[in-house]
Amino acid sequence: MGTAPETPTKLTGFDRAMLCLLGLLIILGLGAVLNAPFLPILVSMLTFCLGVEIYGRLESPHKVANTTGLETSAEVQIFNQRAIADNLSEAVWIVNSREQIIYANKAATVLFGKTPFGRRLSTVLRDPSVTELVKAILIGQDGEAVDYHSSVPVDRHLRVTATPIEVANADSPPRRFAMIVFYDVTDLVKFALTQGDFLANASHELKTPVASLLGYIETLRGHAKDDPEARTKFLAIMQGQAERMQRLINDLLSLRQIEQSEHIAPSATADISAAVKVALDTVLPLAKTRGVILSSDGPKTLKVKGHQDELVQLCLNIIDNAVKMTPKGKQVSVSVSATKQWRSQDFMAPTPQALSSEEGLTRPLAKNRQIVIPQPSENGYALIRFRDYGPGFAAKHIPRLGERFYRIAGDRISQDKGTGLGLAIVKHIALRHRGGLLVSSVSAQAQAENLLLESLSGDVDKPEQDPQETGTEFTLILPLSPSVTQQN
Amino acid sequence: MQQQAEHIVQGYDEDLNTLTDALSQMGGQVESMIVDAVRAIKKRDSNLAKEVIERDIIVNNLQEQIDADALRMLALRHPMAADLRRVVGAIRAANDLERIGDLAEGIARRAMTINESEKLDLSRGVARMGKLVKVQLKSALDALLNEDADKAVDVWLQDQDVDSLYASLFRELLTYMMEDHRNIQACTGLLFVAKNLERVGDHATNIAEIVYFSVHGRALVLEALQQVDGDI
Repeated sequence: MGTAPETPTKLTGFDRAMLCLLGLLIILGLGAVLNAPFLPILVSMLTFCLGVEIYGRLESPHKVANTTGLETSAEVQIFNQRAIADNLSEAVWIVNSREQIIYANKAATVLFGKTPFGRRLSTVLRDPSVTELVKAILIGQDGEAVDYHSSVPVDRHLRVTATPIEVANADSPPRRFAMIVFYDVTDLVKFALTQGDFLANASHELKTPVASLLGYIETLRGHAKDDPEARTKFLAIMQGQAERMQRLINDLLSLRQIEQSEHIAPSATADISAAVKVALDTVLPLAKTRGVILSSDGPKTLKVKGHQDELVQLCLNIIDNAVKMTPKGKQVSVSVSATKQWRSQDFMAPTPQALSSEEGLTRPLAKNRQIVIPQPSENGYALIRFRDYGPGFAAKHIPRLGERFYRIAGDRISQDKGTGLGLAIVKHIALRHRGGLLVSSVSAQAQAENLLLESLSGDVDKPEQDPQETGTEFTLILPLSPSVTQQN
Repeated sequence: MQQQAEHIVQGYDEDLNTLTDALSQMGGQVESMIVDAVRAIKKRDSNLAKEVIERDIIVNNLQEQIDADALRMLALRHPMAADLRRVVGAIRAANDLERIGDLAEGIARRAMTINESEKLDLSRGVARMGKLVKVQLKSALDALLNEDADKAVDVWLQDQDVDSLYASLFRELLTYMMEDHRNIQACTGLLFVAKNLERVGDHATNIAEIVYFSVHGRALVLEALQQVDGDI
């Protein structure tokens, strides 16, 4: 178990006595040899300091062990009996009477990450109901199971129970510990929630096309009964509506599927370069008819932790959107690269005008946004940038991108063909992969603002810069699979 | 903020840990109050709202306790440098957390009036904002308890998301009100809720600034300004 701290070694009284004796001997010896009256005093002071220093050094292993939480023999005893809990499939923590975590089993390390041994439970899981339960158990009261819900990084519902463990010692009163068991009930809760969401969304979104279909059917059976021209026209509209309903149902189904498995990070390895290529090939016919140029660069293969099909769907949704946004003759480019470090601070750094504005820190509406905040990864990250040269999003839309059924009013194409779920699906796939999704957009309005600012600041020395081209860039960040770092 | 065996007097470390512990308890309480208050709106659950209102007293008591503990430490132990910043930081963070508790109570009170009006499906935007603010608050508290300045900077930068979501929510609710004047009562309630959530986000940012100061001994805002000046 990676969670095993070493048993503390303590300096015994015997060791201490030996150290003092050693110091005394040195003083006496030196004093006798040199026969100087001041020397013994000086040396004795020196030796005393040295002794204290050595003692401190020798004791420091104990201090290290102390921070891992094992303090008393009772705790060591608990630790020695860990084999039972080690292999439980439920996450288990054991806390001592001061509520410090002294033990975590394998499942707990998977669930919570690195265990903060020695920290008090209330500073790790801040939920008051859990803390109260453990407190009650530790003073010998009964406590009922409580529910703990954490929504970062993904929604997770845990049922928490605690039971007391008493360890009796010959020379001290029995000490009480609490064993906390976490049952993951996310599946059950999620199922009930998404079921409800699915029904609500489906019925609400299908209401309009169904009503319109019914209207046309009524007309076809009534006034337009013998009008072949109107019939062909109406049937075409009806087909469009039916197709829209089909797309909507497909999107809703895949969204629900991803949402339900969101709390389980994919364990397989996927090739993001291949996923981008498949997506580009699929969109190619559409791009050709619209006169949009597709380009891509990056390594041939780049392995990430992920689910291949979901990644293809993710790339497809973004590229498809980008192609639809881009006017004829412009290009959509995708670049794939790997990086060791990622700091969201670099991406989110506030613009100079935001910081130097009069009110100090009232920032203008965001043009950059982290739709999904990337999770830290040990093996580095794959960065996939999707850049289009379309009109860009107005700043007021950016905070709402990725929201279910959010469509930008006045955007004809997405009104007709889109379901408003494409980016929501992308968002949930990125969440499930413990990745990140960032967007930055330059619209014509933002362009004008930038130009104005530049002319106001009056940088004459600077060479004329081309105004930033309008468009949108989505950046997808995925954790690389461990094998990549091994090769490097 | 929990550290062990740093000072010669063990009681000093224990005092500091007690302070952290109380802050953590307060943070946990406030976090769950915000979550429950938003859920009370989403699920139209007035009983839950009542519960939130009752819990505000716990937060107030915790703040008093933190204030008293911190004062006692200042008087008895004369903390210096990082310790001093930590103790003062605890007082300031407790103040922000207490305000967040009040805002949660305010949201809960609004929830009870909103729930009296007819069922309208307008609360989705508020729920979304609640989720975002909750993440901000959680990150700020994590940064506070782990003394993680990098995370604090992230929280500080993320605040613009909350602000812009508030602006967009404001427009959305305005549209509902223009659409149908029967929506006005519920929508004004939701507007106040959104405003309160935005304030919670501001307090989370304050906490992030406190963390940065406590770790580095320099103010985050000034640092950011200097950095930008350097870039230009």
